[in-house]
Amino acid sequence: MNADGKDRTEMGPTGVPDGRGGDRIVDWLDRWGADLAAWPDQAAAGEARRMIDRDSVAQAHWAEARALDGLLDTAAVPEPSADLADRILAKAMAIPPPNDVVSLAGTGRRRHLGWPSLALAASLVMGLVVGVGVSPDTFDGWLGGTTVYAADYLGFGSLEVVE
Amino acid sequence: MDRQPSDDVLMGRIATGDAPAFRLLLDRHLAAVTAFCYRQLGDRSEAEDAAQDTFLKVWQAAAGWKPEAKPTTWIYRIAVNQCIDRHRKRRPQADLDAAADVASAEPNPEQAAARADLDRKVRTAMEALPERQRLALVLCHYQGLSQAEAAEVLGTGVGAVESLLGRARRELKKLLAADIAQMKEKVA
Repeated sequence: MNADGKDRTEMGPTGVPDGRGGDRIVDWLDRWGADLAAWPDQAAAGEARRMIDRDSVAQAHWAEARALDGLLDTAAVPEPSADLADRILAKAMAIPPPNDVVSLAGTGRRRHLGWPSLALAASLVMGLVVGVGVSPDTFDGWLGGTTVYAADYLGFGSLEVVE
Repeated sequence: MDRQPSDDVLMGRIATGDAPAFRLLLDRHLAAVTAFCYRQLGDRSEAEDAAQDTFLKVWQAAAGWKPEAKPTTWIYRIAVNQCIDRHRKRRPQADLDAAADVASAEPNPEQAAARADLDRKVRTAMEALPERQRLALVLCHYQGLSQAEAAEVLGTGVGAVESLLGRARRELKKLLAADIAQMKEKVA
């Protein structure tokens, strides 16, 4: 209520807050909570303060919002275990450090390039080299043309192939 | 002058495998992240597991953090995913032992019982909220994030977060009407 005791500005003819002002402050309070100083829109907060100062219904809405916030604040949270940080640190030390992992671009996810992947890649290369080297003898010319074509395709075309 | 490194600096160090930097980050944010997980999961042990997995992901993925994102926002985003995964795997349960532990700190047994009862009601009401509404409310009301930061954590816009907050508070006002009326007398 104002210093002059008038609160007509935000009240309709029947004493119910008019649709615009009353609904607006409820909407703000629901979105931003009862702490007007923390509202992201300080112009709205200033307007809300003026409404609360002169309008008993706006005051009631604000009191309700403060009560809800106060109620939420009564919900306690137990302290975490004293050794939780130590446990996390110990587990972190047991896994590869961050600089041993490779970023998957754009996703923020990582995958490890462990020894199984490297061993598989090495064995594939070895298999190709050995295969190209022995296939003409093994198949005795049966796939000779295909072998040369495959060797060219795989980038081994400069290797000498004995037919 | 011993100035503490910023979270951004710590993240850069963690990306190179700096364990002391990781420890410092834990000391700064573990309690808040565990509290966040507790408010999502309603179980202390589950919350600690979720917080642990969150920080292990931070350790492993620190090189992927980009300086334009606030480290805490990034950490909360990981924590949100941890909680969503766990929440969907099992029905959350009220951690009554934890409530009793908190309540036992009250000097008066009647006050302790009343406090535990209120605590249970609020947590039950929070639990009844849709997941996104609860996430938005916990991030903004309890964790102190701005709507813009919560929007970044939840991967949505500020308007959407405000809408979630509005719907969450309206629902809580219905669910906790009697307790709000009592609380109104206290805060009046």
